[in-house]
Amino acid sequence: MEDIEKLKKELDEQTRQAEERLDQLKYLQADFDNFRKWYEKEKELITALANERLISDLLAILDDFERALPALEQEKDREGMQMVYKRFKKILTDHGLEPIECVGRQFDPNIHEALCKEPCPKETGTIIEDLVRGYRLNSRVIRPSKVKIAEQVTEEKGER
Amino acid sequence: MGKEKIIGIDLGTSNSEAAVMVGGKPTIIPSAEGATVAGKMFPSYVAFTADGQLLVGEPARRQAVTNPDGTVTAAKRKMGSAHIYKIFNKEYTPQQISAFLLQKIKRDAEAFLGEKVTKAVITVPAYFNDNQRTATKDAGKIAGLDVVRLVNEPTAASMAYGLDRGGEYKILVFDLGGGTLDVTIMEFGGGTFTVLATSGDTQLGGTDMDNSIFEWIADEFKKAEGIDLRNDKMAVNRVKEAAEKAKIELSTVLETEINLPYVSATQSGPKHLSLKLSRAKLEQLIGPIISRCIHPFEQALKDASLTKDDIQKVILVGGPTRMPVVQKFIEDHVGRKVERGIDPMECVAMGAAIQGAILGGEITDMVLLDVTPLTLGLETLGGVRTVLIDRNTTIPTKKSQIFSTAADMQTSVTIHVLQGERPMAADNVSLGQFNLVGLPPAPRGIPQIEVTFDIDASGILNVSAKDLGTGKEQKMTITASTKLADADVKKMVSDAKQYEEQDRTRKEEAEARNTADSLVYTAEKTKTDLADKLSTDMIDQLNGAITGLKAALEGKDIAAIRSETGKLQKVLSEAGSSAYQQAADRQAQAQAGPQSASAGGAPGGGAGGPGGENVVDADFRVHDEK
Repeated sequence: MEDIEKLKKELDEQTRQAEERLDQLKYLQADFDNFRKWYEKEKELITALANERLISDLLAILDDFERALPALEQEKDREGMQMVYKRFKKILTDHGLEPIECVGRQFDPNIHEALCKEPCPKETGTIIEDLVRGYRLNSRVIRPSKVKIAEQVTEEKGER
Repeated sequence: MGKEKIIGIDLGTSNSEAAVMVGGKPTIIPSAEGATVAGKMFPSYVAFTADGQLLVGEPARRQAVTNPDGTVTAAKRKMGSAHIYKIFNKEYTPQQISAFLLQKIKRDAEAFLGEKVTKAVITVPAYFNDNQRTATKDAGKIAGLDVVRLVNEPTAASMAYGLDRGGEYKILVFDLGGGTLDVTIMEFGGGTFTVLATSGDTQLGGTDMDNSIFEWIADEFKKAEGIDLRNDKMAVNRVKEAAEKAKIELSTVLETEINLPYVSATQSGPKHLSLKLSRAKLEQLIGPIISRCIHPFEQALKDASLTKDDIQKVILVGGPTRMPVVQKFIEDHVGRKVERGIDPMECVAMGAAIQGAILGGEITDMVLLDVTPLTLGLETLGGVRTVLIDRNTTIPTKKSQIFSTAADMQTSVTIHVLQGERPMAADNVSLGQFNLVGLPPAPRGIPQIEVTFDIDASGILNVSAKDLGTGKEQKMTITASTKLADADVKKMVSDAKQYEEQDRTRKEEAEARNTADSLVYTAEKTKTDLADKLSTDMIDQLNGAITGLKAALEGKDIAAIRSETGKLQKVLSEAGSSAYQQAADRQAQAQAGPQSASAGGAPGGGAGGPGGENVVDADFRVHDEK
């Protein structure tokens, strides 16, 4: 009798374990399937991201051009450099790069980064200078504009 | 439908990070702002704008300079205190501020996973007291997260390194972040981590290093050009970015160039900044900051009543610990190499995700996933190694492939099990061998022997060989297949790279010999089978070509073997077609037998599918052949 009880107990235990493991296996299988789907999605993202990385690194060169061009005094040099700049910019634009408009607009932390503010008659929060131009790539912000914003001088400073 | 995922959150002073188990691996959850702009991290910033808008994370950081009164950062430092943030006439507790961050992380995690997230494991510094821990739990509750457990940051980091899988050791965790240093000494044993001592410096970190580099660049520029860049906001911004970039680059290269064209301008024209920064110079610049690490380090050891020799594992956490000089500092002071392989910025969040998965029942002892560190295979004709299981295959796993004999009337085969990355059998480690005997005599290539490699969850390799004709089976168990020291594995992998070219040539040579060998066999068989169908002239030609190839096989000239093989193939195909003209059906049958044997010379890269039933005509070497 005791033996039967013992065996029964053992069987219960084994059944429980078997069910538990089957359950685990099902979850694992589902997880794997989900992982495969996720991986497909991730692969697309990685491709897009690789471009995003490269282009955001190239922005430094675009900036350099924009700083260099106004400083070039000799008309002849300037013309050639201007052409190189235009071609470079066109390639980036064709890949979906577009500058973020900012001067004169209200500051928006989703696309702009404020570096400083300046007393000014314009409404507080208006962007008065674009210090480093920001860009979107295929409508995703890859670099926020770094800007100077206005702090209206006439307004009383109650809230701020 | 999987179980609900429990995410892991490293709620940091200046940056937070989150991770979750995906497909059995901890994976970092990227912030919605995207990897290029903000990295994968969530800056620990919360802000309210004058018009009442709430900003969290990267957008909050972007407006911090111009809205200092409305922006809160480093709320972690106030957790558990009675501190109240007064923002635009409203009051917030540190828990509420942290909750905004957690809410944002929860939202982005849901977007990343595509499912609801309601449970989390959150990490806290080891020195957090009860109040601080309760406050952290409350923050989770406010954010709508059920905090299933709080885990100490150093414990989470240790788990990311797999230090929770048995053994007993004392661990030193050196966590150098953007603005704080935490040194923790822990003991692991009996499945639990116990904190022995903590020490630190709340005002020491990577930001100090960036500032030192910035100051140096500004000084150098002032010396050279007489202009102080510190007065120019835009220049300051560019130089700071360049300083941080240079610091990161110098972790992998010995010298970097900082180039900032048109950084400033004077009456005389534009000024460019161009400076070389070597790793040695960088180390000199940040030397004073690193030497400040000594005190907390020694204090922690003292508090734990230990000496450096008691420490068995050293774990680094935080971006600045990627710098070789920081690693060297630790290794010199502990006299022990640091653990490597996990991103120090991500390991706390990853450990939290692992803890989450354990609590969620996703991981149990039964399914700790492991991999085979080296390729497993067996020796086939000509001393070639044929792969059954590739390295880095997750175990448990099982692969089968069908092989055949290399000689006529061969009655036994030797299964020689090999481990390693080299294509020739002799260069790999032999794990053992056994014979399958009693095969019924048959022409080469006819018997079908199924070889199965089966690695169970604990890494034990079972090799079996079964003759499908007679059902005879032979087995062997190898227990040491996955338990190799890391150094051995690395050496074997690097050897394989080093000898890649040489090995390839040798394998090609072996294959050329195998092809030639089986061609001789085929030719001789064809000659016998078609004896009455072939002209005397054709038989003479065949004999000549066979003798030629046999002679070449005696020697070592591979080019000769190849050219003789070509000759014999040509003669053989002529013989075949002339015979065909006479009696099509009989020859077709005669041809079919030898054909498969001729393919058998080159063990194909037959990566059999799971449960692989596909036949690869790779021949065993003859049992008594060496």
